[in-house]
Amino acid sequence: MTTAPLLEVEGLVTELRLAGGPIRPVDGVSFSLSPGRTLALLGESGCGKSMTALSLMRLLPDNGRVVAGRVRFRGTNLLAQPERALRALRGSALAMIFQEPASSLNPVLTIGRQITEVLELHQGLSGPAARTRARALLESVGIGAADERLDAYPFQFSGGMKQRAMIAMALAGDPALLIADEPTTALDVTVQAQVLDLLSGLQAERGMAMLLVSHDLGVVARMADEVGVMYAGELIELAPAVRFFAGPAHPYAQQLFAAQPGRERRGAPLVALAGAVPDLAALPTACRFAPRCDRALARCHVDRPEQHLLAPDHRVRCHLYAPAEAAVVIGVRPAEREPAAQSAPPATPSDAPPAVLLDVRGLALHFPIRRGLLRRQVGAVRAVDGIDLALHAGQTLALVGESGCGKTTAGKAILRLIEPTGGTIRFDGRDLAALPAAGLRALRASMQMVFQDPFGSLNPRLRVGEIIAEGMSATGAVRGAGAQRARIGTLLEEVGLAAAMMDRYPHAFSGGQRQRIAIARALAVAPRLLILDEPTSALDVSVQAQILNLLAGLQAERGLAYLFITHNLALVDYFAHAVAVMYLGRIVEQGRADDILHDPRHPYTRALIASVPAPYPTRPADRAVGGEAAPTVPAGEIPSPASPPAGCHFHPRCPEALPVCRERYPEPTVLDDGRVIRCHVRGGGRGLAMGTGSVVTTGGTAGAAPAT
Amino acid sequence: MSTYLIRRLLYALPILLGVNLITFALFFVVNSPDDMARMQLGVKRVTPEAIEKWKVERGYDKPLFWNAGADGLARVTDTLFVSKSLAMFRFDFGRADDGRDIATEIRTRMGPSLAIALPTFLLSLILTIWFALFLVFFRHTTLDLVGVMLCVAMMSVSSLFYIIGGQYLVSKVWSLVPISGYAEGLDGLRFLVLPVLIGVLGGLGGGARWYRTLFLEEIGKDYVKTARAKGLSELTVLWRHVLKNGMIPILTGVVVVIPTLFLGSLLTESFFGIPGLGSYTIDAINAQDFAVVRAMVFIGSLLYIIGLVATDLSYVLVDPRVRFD
Repeated sequence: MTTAPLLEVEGLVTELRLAGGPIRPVDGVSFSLSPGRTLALLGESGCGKSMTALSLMRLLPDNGRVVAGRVRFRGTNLLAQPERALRALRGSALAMIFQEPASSLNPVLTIGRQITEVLELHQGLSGPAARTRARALLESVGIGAADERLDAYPFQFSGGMKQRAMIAMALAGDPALLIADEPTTALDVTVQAQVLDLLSGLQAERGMAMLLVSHDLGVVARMADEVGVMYAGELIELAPAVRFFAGPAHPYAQQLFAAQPGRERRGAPLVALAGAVPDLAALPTACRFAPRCDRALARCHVDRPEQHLLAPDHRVRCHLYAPAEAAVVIGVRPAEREPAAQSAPPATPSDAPPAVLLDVRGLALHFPIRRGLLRRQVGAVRAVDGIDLALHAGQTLALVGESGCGKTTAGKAILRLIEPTGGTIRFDGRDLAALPAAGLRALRASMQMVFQDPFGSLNPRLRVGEIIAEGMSATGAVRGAGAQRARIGTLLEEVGLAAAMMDRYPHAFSGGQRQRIAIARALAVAPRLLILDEPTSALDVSVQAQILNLLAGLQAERGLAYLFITHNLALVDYFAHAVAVMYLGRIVEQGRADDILHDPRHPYTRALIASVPAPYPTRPADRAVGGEAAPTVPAGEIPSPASPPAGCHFHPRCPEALPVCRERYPEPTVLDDGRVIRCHVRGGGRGLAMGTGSVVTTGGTAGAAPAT
Repeated sequence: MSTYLIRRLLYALPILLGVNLITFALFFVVNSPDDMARMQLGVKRVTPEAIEKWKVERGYDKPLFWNAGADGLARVTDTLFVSKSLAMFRFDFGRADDGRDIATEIRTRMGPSLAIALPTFLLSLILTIWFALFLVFFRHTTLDLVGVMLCVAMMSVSSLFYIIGGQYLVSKVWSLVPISGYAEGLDGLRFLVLPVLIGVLGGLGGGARWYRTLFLEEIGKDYVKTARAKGLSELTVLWRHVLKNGMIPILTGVVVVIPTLFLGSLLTESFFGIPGLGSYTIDAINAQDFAVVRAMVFIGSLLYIIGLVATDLSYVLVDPRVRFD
């Protein structure tokens, strides 16, 4: 068990020279890693975890350099090696894969060429021998028809296949250590599950050590043997995964867990860390986390904490664990602490749901495909293909699906930001589709949208006040400069900013603050419905918790209805009253959030839920071995909406598909608990797939059917 | 692909028509056929009869756009615009004011123009890319800084200065090559060296600075990090990965000028006494010879449109992501 470590990092310090002076994104990091083991570096953006990984390979950006420390790989200090010796290691003994498979492959070279160049360099293979080896590598990462795929360019690969090709490239040099920098962050959840399975299978097969960089507790729990938590350049806690997930010691790590949305926190506000990760150019001299820590002692603001050992393999950099303090505080777990009552929880659905505010029937949006000399329409991309949605006043309906399923387009079509091709949209009883262009302005005052990217959605040339005022002036909600300024001030305070901030430009704000501005802008016209398009997916988990608490508070105060577009099921579980699951332009399952998430019936919903890695470690025996995905995770990826599969769109990926699924799309069926499902297998017989814990409504005659 | 090509060439027709119309209108806003005749016959002692005779001989006795005196369709066709400008769509360029056939003139003058323009183009492309990659290899060093400063200095100097300075230094002081002139065949080589050299030098600063920026932008991309993580040397990364991607925007700017190389350079040809199309155009403008100006503008815009289509097609060659359906 105790093999000599493959990699030992001691006191690593990395500096970046910036215009305002040098900063240290990595400051005194030490850890070691044995062959065949996985160490995960966990942390939010800007904490230095990627910089640590790049420092090991000496692949820092031009303005970066390692200023202190040692990186011993098989006993030799990599930092003292000449560049030539390091190049011989890169791509062979040390390999790396990156976050964005789309941009990490050279777009103008074939996949085959990008793999064979590693084989030429490190294995001395060339010509047909290199090609044969490259084909075997592609096959080992689960890419079929490998011989043709070698001649394909990256753009011809789907996101998951690109990341598989990246892994094949990394394996080409037969590495002893694989550094994976957020390897699945850019992928959809079902594809993420496939890639994680592949990585752990390959690791077991080859005995590779893996350094995994991730912000996702679920991914870390799924993969890691040991966990290192980073904050503001420091490694603040290092522990075996089992110990860490049983009870993290550092207050920051505890708060990371407390900020995770999920079912168990439903109805209560999330514990949100105040503020954001500190600016590396102006770090606190004592404990870097002290300003945001709810358990900080007086000395935390004065002295830099030492590392304390809680067990031989568990160290934490925190004053709370100094021998003098330890007796007092150990044993206090985040779960036992009462979360601060900052805002009201989302209302639980009552027996009689409020009136329907938004009623969408058969909404369709088809983008024409034009070809030929006369640009004749030869087909259509059915981005949204006849969806029904009902959103009650003051409630949250989550529209869930993977990228490319049409959920964002549906949101825009409802607002008529893109003109729908068909269907009716009734808002508060009025038919919006029949509305003339002039009537749209009044509509905009009652429906607003908050977009995913807080950096792209605010005009950088306008002051915050001007951004918020635009909607008021356009809809005539508030007239007059004085009245508008007063209203803007109130709005900014309502979303947790200061009124004085209205004269600043967006670039002065962090991502979380910008999203608050975007919410204030939407609220400026006093809408009754907000369409939230992935409002937190660009944010760190601690900031996400702040925004979710804000949204929950606003809903309780103003009775806002939310159409919440997201791919994150934990968010839905925490936040939504109802949920609609979308796949290739159609809704496959729809109903109350509680029913759908805890008793999913449609095979696609089941697959989605099964693919989300749980934020607690699974025993190695539970992990799939080899390149095979676990049976609940669907194979393949979402097909192009331009040419969806015939019959039920999901049938090629469905583990339960029947012959009929290949022939026609299933009609909607209403099940006993009121959910609507479109599935030949599970929608047919009532009560056929009733699981335990499902709600039996009084109207259902077949509700008493025995559970299967 | 072929439907794309056909559509693009159909788009070219209205563009050419518009160019024609605007050139025609601009010319006749400042000049009337009477002015042209007076210019040709000499300003003094010109009788109205002589002017009228000149106009009839050369077909300038018609109205510009609308012939009220004619019948039917001839009201439109029997005008200066249709007979002079639209005839060019048949590649019928007519005669210059001195009576020579313009099409023959263009054919004979194309050779000298290309003899200067083609080597200048190729040499400067290769040299500029090489110099830009050199600067990128030494990025953030003093060498890079000095190189960029040199580029800025070179692009700040007027091209006239390069020509006059080069002629003074190389030809007058050092007496290495003739100051100006042209000869056919290998013998003409000594006349070409200086204009080509000066053409390359004059464009180097601005080009290298631009390409350097393009390469630096590429070098910050993720796939470069991947290439380095494979253990490739910096030179291999530059030549195999960065250059290929950086060539995509470079090609856009470069392919479009290839067809127009035929037209030569107005400035270089006049200063070095090269009997090419550039000096032909300059002389025609000075002599207010509308027939020649009109023909050159037409051919220029035609070649430019061909260049634009060629640019689109060249994308298919360098960027596998681009396909035309």
